[in-house]
Amino acid sequence: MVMPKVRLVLLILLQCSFAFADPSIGVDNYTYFGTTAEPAVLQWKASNGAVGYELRAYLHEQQIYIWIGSTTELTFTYQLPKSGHYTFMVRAVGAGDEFSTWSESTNPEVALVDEQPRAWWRYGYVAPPGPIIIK
Amino acid sequence: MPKVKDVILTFPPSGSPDVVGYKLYVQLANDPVTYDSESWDLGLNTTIDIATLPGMTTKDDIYNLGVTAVDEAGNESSFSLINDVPLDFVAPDPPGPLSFVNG
Repeated sequence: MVMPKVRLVLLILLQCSFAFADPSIGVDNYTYFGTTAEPAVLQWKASNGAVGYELRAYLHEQQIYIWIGSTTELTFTYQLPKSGHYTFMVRAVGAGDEFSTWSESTNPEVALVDEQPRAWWRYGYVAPPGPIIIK
Repeated sequence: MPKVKDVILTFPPSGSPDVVGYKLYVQLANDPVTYDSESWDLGLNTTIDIATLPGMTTKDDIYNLGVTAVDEAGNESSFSLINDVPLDFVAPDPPGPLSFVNG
């Protein structure tokens, strides 16, 4: 069975500061619902001076950061490892191995939903089994 | 002992990466399957003989069946459903008595 892909958009904003604050849980967050069997496609806009990008997620139910990976592309396909609410973060990596601050999907200043500034997160739930067959 | 036909139920597994088991729900056909219906833990088995499940009904009837996936946190998926399944767990009475007719 072909599972639909969900496209999520994250706008990166290069800054000099560096912070590790927990992502906020905002009531205005737009929620992308989907099963944990459906890969999420993260996408962001290029940052000046970046030679690559790093991504991580925050799983709110367990209050843990999850390293997603690094890429030189502007998109990344990711399958949620377990159920829950996820905030995504991306940061730019410079040629000298310096980093931007994290751009968080829950920050409407650097996040987009349908090309409009808005905070978002994704809720992944367990995918049901396939159709039952009785023999 | 009478011989009862196997009723094999099978389903493709969930695509979620943290599934630790499946649950089978059984409900008489005049009611929908819900999370309160009688249920059986299937472990990670995706093919089972319904008649061998401990405590399974032995009443011939029409049933609605549902299967869910369960993740490591205990969350359950929505149902994969099949409705109006005739289950026949009871063998017919044997014929008889058998006589020899001297022709």
